[in-house]
Amino acid sequence: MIRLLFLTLILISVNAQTDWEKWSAQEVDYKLKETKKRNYTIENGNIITQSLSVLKLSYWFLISDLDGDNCPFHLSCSNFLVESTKKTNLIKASLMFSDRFTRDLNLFKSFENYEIDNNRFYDPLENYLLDERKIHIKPENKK
Amino acid sequence: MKKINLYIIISFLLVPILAQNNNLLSPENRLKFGNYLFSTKDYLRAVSEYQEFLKLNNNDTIKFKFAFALENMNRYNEAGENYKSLFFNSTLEEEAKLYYLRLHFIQDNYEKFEQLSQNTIYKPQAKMEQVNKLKMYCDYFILNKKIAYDSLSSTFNKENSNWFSDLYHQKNLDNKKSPLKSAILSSIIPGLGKIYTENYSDGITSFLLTGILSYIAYDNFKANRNTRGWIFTGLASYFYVGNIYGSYASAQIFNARIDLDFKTNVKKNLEINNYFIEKYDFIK
Repeated sequence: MIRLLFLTLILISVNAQTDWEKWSAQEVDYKLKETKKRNYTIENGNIITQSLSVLKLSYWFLISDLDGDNCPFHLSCSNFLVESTKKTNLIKASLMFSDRFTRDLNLFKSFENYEIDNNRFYDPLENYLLDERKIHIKPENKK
Repeated sequence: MKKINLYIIISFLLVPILAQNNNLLSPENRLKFGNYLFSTKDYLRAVSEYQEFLKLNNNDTIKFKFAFALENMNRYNEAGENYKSLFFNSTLEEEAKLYYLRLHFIQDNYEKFEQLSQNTIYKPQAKMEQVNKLKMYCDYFILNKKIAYDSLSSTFNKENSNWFSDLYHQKNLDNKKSPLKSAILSSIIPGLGKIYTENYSDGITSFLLTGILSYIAYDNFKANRNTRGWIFTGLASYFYVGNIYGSYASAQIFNARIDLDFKTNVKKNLEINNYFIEKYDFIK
């Protein structure tokens, strides 16, 4: 019986979990990890779309990347201009952008009319095409 | 000592042989566990227990509960097939047909609901009052068909609940904004159209932006700085026209929001009233 007990104890200690990993100093990096990578390619399309795309990339490189990601809306204002030009025409897109700029400026920071999507206010350009059938108040995933 | 060790070893060997034989996975136990899970709304696990039970037993109530659990897990196609399996030679035939029709309503498939409710195979003959109630609700509140108030009131106001009068008034309340009026107001005073559509901060911002740019343009012209004057005039005009455009769009968005709120209330009301279908004791 004692031999049996002794054998059991030996077996337990042989199969027990061992720890060969030694603690060592780790280099700490306090830099925030970049979660969002911007696409710096010039978009394909007509001359107007390409020009706006270049303008957008210049704005990103010279101002936005240094200033920080400040746009509160889901489709950022620069993307809003380019996408609305693709969907409509330059004149309509510029009017849409002018209205978007005013709403972004929003001196009283009152955004209660917007739904939240991806930690930003949901403001799709389809809502501003002056077509009632295309308006959607809530993002797709919240319907 | 050797004898004591022998007794200990023999007793350890006998324990599993002599222990109470309780088959936890017997159909009866599966059913009990399944019912418990169902009552706690753990439909995912209830479904697997019922599935195993139904492999060896044919029980209409459990089949119905199985279909109901699938429905609550949004597995509508499977739920539909299981309800259909109770359509013939079943004690719960009428109830299964009723819940099958309800399933199409839940999925916003109103045309299919109307079509099937006319079909003899899917029509629960003894429960047509409930089906007709649901149909009337669908026709008036969802499909916007014209139905006399008296007819609606006599159908839905029986229980003296407030929901009908609230929903009826919400549907007939004309609180939508005119996009054209909004655009005209903004052309007279920048931002007024947005204030009309209850976007107060956007309206004031539009007014201030257009106003400040216009003033700067005027000031530059006054100081004979014509180039700057024209630049700021251009900017002021740009934002002025943009504000008119934005006011028109904001009225459309305002109206879309009203429609969405109404549709949400219609759906919520249906869920609260269990789609006007009685909830049976065995699925509570």
